Amino acid sequence: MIRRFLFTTLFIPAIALVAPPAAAFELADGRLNVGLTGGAAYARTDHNTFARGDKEGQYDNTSLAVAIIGHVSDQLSVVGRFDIESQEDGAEIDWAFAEWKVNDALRLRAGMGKHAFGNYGEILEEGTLRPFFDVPHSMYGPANIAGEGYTGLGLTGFFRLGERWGLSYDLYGGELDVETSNALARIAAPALNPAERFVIETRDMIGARLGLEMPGGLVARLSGYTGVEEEYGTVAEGVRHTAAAGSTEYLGESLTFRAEYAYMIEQNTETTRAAYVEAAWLFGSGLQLAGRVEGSWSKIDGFTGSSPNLRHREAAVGLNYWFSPEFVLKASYHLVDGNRFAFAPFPEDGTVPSPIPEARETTQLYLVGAQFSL
Amino acid sequence: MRIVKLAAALLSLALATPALAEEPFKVIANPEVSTDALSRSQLSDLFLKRTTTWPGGGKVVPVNLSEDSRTYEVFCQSVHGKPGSLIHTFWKRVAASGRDTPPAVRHSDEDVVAFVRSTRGAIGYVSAAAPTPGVKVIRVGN
Repeated sequence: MIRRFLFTTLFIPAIALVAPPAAAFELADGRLNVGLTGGAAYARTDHNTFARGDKEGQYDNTSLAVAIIGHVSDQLSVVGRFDIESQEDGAEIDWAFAEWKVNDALRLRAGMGKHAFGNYGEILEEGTLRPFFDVPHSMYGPANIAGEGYTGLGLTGFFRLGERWGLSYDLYGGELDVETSNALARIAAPALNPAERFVIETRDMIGARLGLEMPGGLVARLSGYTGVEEEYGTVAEGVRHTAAAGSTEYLGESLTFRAEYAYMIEQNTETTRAAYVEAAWLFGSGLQLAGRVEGSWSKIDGFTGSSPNLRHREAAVGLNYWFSPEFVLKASYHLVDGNRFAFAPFPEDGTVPSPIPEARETTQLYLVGAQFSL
Repeated sequence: MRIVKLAAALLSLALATPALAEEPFKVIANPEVSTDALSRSQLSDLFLKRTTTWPGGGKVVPVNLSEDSRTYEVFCQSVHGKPGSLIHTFWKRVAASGRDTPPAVRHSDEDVVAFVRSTRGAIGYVSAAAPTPGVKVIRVGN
């Protein structure tokens, strides 16, 4: 396990350091573009299991992904990406789709696409495009809000509005996979394994995202989707699932800033509000200081009591060192209140211990890791 | 008297401005491209692949100088209004979401000229002093 950690943190990034400063490798006279991304982290908490860490210290946080973009002709491209994560069995396809370019304002997509939702929806695995090792848990964790990807049809394009303004759009439909945990179900059934996650298949789904690019580098985005859920856990078939988000992002040479707010309704079952603000400052030496506050607040229909499983409040600070835009070392400290995503340690085999372990309401997480892309 | 001197100084500065504003790079295109002049925002869209077809038809094939080139940085600031590091981030995001791939890269003015000369629909840029035989120089407007 430690050998795999060292391989991913030291050997592969060494290639990133000596590789030319390009986003990926070009083959076949530029018609084939291959990109490699990945990372590894060590994470430890003071008690609860949260994100990548547990109280014993978790090394098993390595990932490696390969993305391929092939230009079959001027109009037709085929795109695919798969990744291997140490905590999952086998390789997983992230996306695989074909795109037909009608013109610059209209591109048609068919297949399995990334979810165009918010700031991070399409770039969840790209660690060198963010200041913290992980994207905000409240919106992009197992929060029942942002999808992992959809299978179906999509349209995308870009319009120039005047000299310095621009408008991008995405329209898509099909089936969307949204991940959640059983944190809310455990309020009524504490013996459920808190580490278990569900991928909710939301079918007959339609969604859209609009992105307004303003002069100076500021981008504002509006995203939303609605669909009907397949049965999962204690939730019946046919429940309508709707989510919307407002997002803003500023990428400057030194300052990066992102903020988002999302609202999700699972008809007659659950509502969740989530938000975060994230900022980072890059000093000339490659050192970067980052901070983030985020929160998630859920309500269960018919439940009037209170529970720490309904909330997640988190403050995080991070210190990064960028060797190049392709390779970064990250260290962060996270202070969490609530048990929406932080839970008591359970045996990995899923057996229910007796007595059932108690979670603490506050969690501290320490993380060090490396991420790269080439 | 002071006001007259100040006015004269401002006038001489204003007259000197066009020379200072001269681009330290030349935009070049394949001779078959019919376009003679482009605004900065049009150029930006061509090099960010947001416009992929020439006004007279045909695919646009942009080529960049490598990112360690001084001309690349000057071009990014002048045309995109952003430093090269942010254009790099832009392409990382575009490629990571599977939307497109960055333009081809050549490592010297000579290589860019050779690429543009031999590639239909190509557009590139080189330092202002570079010789540009066999290619068309595009005027850059505001």
